Amino acid sequence: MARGSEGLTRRHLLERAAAAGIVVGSSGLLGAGERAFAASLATPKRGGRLRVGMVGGGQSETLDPNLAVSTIDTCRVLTLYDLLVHSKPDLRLEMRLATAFEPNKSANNWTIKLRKGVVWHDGKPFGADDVMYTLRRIAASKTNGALPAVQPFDLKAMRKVNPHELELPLHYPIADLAPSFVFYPLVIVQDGAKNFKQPVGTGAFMADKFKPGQGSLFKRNPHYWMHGLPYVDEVEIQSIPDPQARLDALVSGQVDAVEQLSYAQAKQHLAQKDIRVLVGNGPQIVPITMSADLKPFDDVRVRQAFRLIADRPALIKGAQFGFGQIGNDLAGKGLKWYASDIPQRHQDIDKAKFLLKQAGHEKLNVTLYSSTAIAGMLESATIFAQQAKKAGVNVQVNNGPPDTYFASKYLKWAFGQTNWPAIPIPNWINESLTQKAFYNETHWHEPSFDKLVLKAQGEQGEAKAKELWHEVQKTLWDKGGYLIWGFTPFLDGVSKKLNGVQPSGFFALGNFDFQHFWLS
Amino acid sequence: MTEVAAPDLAVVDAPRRRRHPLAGFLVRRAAAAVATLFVVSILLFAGTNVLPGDVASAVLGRDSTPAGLAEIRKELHLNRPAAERYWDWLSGFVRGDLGSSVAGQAVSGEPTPISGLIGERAKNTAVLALCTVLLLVPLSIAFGVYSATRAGRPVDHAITTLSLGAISLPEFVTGTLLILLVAQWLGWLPGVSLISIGDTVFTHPSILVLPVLTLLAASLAQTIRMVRAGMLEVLRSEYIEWARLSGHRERDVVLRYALRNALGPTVQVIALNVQWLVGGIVVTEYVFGYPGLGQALVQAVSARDVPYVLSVGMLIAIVYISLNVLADLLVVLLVPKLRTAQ
Repeated sequence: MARGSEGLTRRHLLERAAAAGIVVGSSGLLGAGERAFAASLATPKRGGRLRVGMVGGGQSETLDPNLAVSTIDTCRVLTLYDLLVHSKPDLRLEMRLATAFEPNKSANNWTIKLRKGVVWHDGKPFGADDVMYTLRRIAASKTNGALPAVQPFDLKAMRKVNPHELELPLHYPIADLAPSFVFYPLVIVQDGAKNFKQPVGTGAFMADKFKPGQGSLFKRNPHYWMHGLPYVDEVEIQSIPDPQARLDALVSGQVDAVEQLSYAQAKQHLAQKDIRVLVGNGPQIVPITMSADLKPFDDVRVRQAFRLIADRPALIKGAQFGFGQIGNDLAGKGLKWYASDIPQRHQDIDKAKFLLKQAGHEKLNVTLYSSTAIAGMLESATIFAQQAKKAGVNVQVNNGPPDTYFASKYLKWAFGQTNWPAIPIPNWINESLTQKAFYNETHWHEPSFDKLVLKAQGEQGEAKAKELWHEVQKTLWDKGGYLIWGFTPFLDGVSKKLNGVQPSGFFALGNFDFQHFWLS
Repeated sequence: MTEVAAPDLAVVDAPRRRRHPLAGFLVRRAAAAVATLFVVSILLFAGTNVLPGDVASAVLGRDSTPAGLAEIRKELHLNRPAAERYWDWLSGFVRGDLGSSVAGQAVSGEPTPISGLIGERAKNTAVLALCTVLLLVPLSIAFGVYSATRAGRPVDHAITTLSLGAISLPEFVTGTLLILLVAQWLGWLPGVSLISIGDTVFTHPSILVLPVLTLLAASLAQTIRMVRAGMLEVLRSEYIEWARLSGHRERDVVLRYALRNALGPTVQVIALNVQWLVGGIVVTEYVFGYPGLGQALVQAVSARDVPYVLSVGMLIAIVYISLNVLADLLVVLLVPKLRTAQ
């Protein structure tokens, strides 16, 4: 079953990107996992069953990384398989099945060195053939979310150097390749793997039972390459779609961890202290989008005025119960290349009114397409509409059905909302702001901007690259159509008996690194 | 014309008169049931078509792109005319083929027969319903009779007030209150009825307690009140007075003479409530995360898994209507007068 030749799923793109590029370049990579974590742990206890409650996706849940979409799929895929490079909760990268990425001089041909001594769940040794098979399987797939990540790879010319080393030529130079592999659909599957009903991975846990829409059980992999890990004997991942039931299950001790607490639940239980609330602050955003080619936003002054209307602290307080950080109309705060020296934009109604008057819109009526599809979306739209009144702008909030919000007029409306998980700045710009961008939500078409992005991407000199990326972001800050009023955290709940899990700004539940979890 | 027709009528009428009166009743009811089910199937299909979006937009969610949506719709043949899709599904259903889950097919790429997906869930739902009914029948009769014999006294008032209170609360409120009180404050019972993979509902029967209580709270009240009303009416009748005056013990008067005659309407009311359970279970299962048909139905609706919704919806309708026919039959059997009435 295919999702279409262009059916790269949106979240995949986002997550891959999110995973990629996070913060460090290859030079900053850490060694194997257990070393880094050892220090932060007390004496971990072994054994027991880790029980995790996830939102679930009904019959569409799957163990095939090429088809995985929902967070429960992500969670299972990362439990079964390993990535070449993994993002730690603090967003730094950690080498997993790869041990090194080495470029040639022009950075268009990379050598990937693989970890030795890793075995598959069926006992076969892991090696370069598996990685090459995985990359080709992804490229041939129409549904794998990592499709854009493998597009720069010249897979025909890719070759095995020896069982633990492969050479990967690129169609164009990429200065830092490792971050491209952190996205979860890029987990490495076994050479020739076709049957994902009995999947074979190299991950910390082996598949035991799986019922879509209900639950699954995984057993400890005794031959896991991270010596001595995992701690728990079993992992059970259950689908609990109702948010209240999920929390009830945690509070009454039926599960040890749940994803996606609501802001209200998180706030209440942070005060109550009966469970541990994980607040993973990261670069996730739920911005408002203005289409630069549609009225009234085709006038840059209107876009500028709307950005000045936003009272960002009030939006954080009202739409996110105070969780998260305020935004400066730029994505990727805290990530590599983020232009933190661009001054913070504050509410300025007078200036907004002035700009609107100049643009001939002293009285302006606009419809903002919103929905409850993403937490905080409708709330922020409503609050923004109130704030806009002060500048003489009447914002009509259209609350559309959440199930079809991204299926109907998304990418077509003049004034709407969207969301992006943690995503490195170059990837975000490529996917939302260039001519060939898949999700050109702000209808941003500027050939000169594209050229600038291409130049920045290819630039290997650190200082020069920084300068170029700054220029890119300054352009967006001045004229862009994104109103990024804040950053949205991951909110999860875990039992007080659960250890080894840290809040992650990258993904839910400490980015599902279950081999480090243990139960006291 | 009349001369020719008359003997014909006689020929047709003769065997009908000889047939057991119940057979005619059953035939009429069965025909009505089939007609009702046909209407239900049309309503279900229309309902699923009115929902915004389809399985493609549901599976892709925020990943939706025009090309991706088109591809899924093509793969799953969602672009065919509604009448054609309806006929395909109905003709399959009549032959006992429940069809294939489109959400399952969207991710696995191969047909996922619904019959293979619902077996265990149907069993879980049946266990939940059966436990509720087994408690509902004796409890409603016991409380109803007790309340009727003490009509106007404090015990009666207490039962009436409590049942009125319970009846006013929807299942999701009762369920949530029970979870808060029994599971979270007292910590006596699990608040969510999860079944670990590989286990069955009987591995931890305690998970049944709160859902059963929730269902009882909503249904018991009504049946108690009906039993009480029926009993009161009978207890005020002349023959009961005569029985009392004849010196029969009150216990015999109530249980032997009054109750049996009050049972007719009671059976109907209990049957109505059992039918209601079929719907109430959908909400209750969702609140408690109980892996039954109801929860699956809710998931299927949000996944826009149309064949799944249609087939499970029809199965529920069949259970509902069969229970209705069964209850009527039971009443006819209990009340001899109705057997001869045409």
